[in-house]
Amino acid sequence: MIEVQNQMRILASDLIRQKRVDFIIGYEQGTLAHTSRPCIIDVRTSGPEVSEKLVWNSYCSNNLSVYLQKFFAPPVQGRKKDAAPPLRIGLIVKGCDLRSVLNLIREKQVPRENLILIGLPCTGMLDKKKMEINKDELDIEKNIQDSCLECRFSNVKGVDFEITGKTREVPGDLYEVVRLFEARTRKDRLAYFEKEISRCIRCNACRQACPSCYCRECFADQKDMKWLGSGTMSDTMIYHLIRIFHQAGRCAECDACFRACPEEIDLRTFTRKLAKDVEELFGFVTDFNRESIPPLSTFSSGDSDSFITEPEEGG
Amino acid sequence: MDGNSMWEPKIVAFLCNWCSYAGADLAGVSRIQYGPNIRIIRVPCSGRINPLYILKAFQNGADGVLVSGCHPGDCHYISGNLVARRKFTLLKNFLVYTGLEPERIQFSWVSASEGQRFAALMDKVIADVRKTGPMENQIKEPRLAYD
Amino acid sequence: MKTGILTKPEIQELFSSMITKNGEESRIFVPATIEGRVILEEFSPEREIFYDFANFLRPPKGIFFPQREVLCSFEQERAVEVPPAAGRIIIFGIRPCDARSFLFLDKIFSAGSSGFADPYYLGRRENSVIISLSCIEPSEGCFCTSLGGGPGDESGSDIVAFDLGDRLLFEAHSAKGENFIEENTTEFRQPDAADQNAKKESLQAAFNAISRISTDGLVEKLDDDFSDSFWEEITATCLGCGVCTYLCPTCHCFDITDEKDRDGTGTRVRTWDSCQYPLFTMHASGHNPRAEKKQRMRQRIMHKFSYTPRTTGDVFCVGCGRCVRKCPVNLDIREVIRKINGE
Repeated sequence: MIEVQNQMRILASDLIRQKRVDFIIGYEQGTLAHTSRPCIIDVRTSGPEVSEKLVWNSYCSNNLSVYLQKFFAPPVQGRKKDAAPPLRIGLIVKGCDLRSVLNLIREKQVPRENLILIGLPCTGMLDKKKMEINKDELDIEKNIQDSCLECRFSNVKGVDFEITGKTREVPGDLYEVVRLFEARTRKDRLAYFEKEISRCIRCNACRQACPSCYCRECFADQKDMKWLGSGTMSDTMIYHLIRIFHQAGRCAECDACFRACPEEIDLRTFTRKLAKDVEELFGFVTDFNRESIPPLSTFSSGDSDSFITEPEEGG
Repeated sequence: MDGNSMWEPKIVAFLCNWCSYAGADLAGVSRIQYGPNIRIIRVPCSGRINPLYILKAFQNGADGVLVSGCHPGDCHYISGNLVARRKFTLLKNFLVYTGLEPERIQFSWVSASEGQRFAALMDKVIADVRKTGPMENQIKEPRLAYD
Repeated sequence: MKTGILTKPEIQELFSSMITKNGEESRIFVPATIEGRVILEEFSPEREIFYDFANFLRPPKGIFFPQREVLCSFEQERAVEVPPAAGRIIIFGIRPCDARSFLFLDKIFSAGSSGFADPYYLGRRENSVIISLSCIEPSEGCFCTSLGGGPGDESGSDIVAFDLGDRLLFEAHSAKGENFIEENTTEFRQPDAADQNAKKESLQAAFNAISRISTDGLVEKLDDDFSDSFWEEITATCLGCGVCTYLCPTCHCFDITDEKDRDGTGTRVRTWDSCQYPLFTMHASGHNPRAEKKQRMRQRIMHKFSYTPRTTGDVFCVGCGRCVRKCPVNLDIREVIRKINGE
């Protein structure tokens, strides 16, 4: 990993020296133990030596693409004619970040030509909560994040600069958590969902941490037509159901929502379900293919009608 | 169903303007009998239905929700119902996954000429929801640790 | 100062006997574990008090100032006020930093600062006894000693309890606390020199483990920094969620909304709000004076370290470290203060 970090720093300083980027988004050392955190460096005002700030280790779990959209979002009053040209962003990506970036490109939120993607090989990120429980910091496999255990995209493709190295093997069962949950009784599932959601404090961290949640006005914040109340159980359930459902066919399975939650609500059991259904029903995965069409933006005449109610003695 | 003997299911039906609503109209003018438990909300197209509408219906006391649009291929807007079909497939699976009874959320296709089918569909949906029973009151306070 | 010693099983018994005593009902909150999570939970004789933890995820402010509280209900033209809850509240086992936060919240919700005394908060608060539990193992991110607190600090507590292993040493620091020990005096044993020594040792160890920042002259420095570009730098990675404010024991901003039900009835509810949301300052016209996150983060820091020292005389931060530990992008308030200090 040190080797990858060194190469990343050299690459970043080259990009700065050649003035090919205005910003570099990467990771820096955090203030707590076992923590790396996102950093956004304005390289127009700093020299190539700032690349020494960048780190790459097993704690770089944040999805950095969450910062991209705001660089390119049109201003509320509309873009002025003499506005400055859009900025060029150098972005450090691992597999899940890249999947989110491609989502933003597919959804035309971010212009590909303004991005310089630096792809890093990922061996999985460590889960601080697991480390606290297991105590054994060195046992990587035991402390790896659940999302990384199910990752098939640790080997990035289609980036501008790729640093090669060890990546994760593609796992066998991708949706075990969903299958186990599906096997439980309905009452059990509802009770679990309610139990998890009852801890929600509506801090919106799950929404804010998600790279796909970029709506200018979230349905949960609408005031003119107020959809959600002030946090009764049903309001909170609706908030989560709709927030997760909005990620159907868009979720990059990075688990940023799950990690951001201060109450450690098990969101992944539910986000995974939509990923599984989208893959099984429509054959779509948020992969590295830039040209693919998001499944809910299109349709096929062969889509299943099996969920349709047929009246018993039809007319 | 002791104590619920007076209970009648409340069902909200989102019907598309061009087919299913006209189908309901035809059932009416043809004087075909079906249960009175339906509250119809007319929408331009089944593609217009936001999943949030369905959840809000449940929150506001519906025991069941029916969504109906034109048959695939017959959409007034060409593909609205085909896009909706994908969305509803996922939605139904997802809500059932989180613990909703599948009988409470139903989708169907009814054309403007299918008054008979509409009435039969209503009877089936009402019977299904009746069998499932009243929606548990979802409007309750969150169990925050010390509120 | 009244003091007393109780063993841990005796404490369990004492609280069991206090749920209803002399015809008075008390709600007692104690540390407990539910599915591996340590939370402040309402006590019942079956619930075992849990001592081996650093601090709760949630601040205890919710006991007096719930996240969601119905103020009145209405039906057409007629409104019915919902009276503040009555009954005694005993909080046992919160850390001294959190107990200290009650002093600040008291200033906000009593008539002193605004001329309006909040009957809901005060109704619960006035009838409460706070028994804090000294800190043995501070967490990473704690910095209470820099803000006037400490692992055995008594401000805000009626009684401070010191965990000496199998037993607890109780020290009363207010009339309420003295009454509490007096009322239950048959239960308490007097501490000896060994108890006092054990207390000192545990405090010193905790004290040494707590990180420090300097807040000298911060109010003046913040005045100079108001329009500094530095705010943009430090908030660059902020996601704009409300974790820091909702988990803060002293953040107290709220919103009041009317929620109408489908049958013409409705309720007026007060809910926590957060200065980190754009909606917090959104005007009806659509104009938003704090449209950007740098302005919102500046408000949060300024409110705690500049405005409240002026209006109430206190820095509204107890150094509990929740925002430090739980920020999804590790935006560390200690670091922000250090940067303002020019360190």
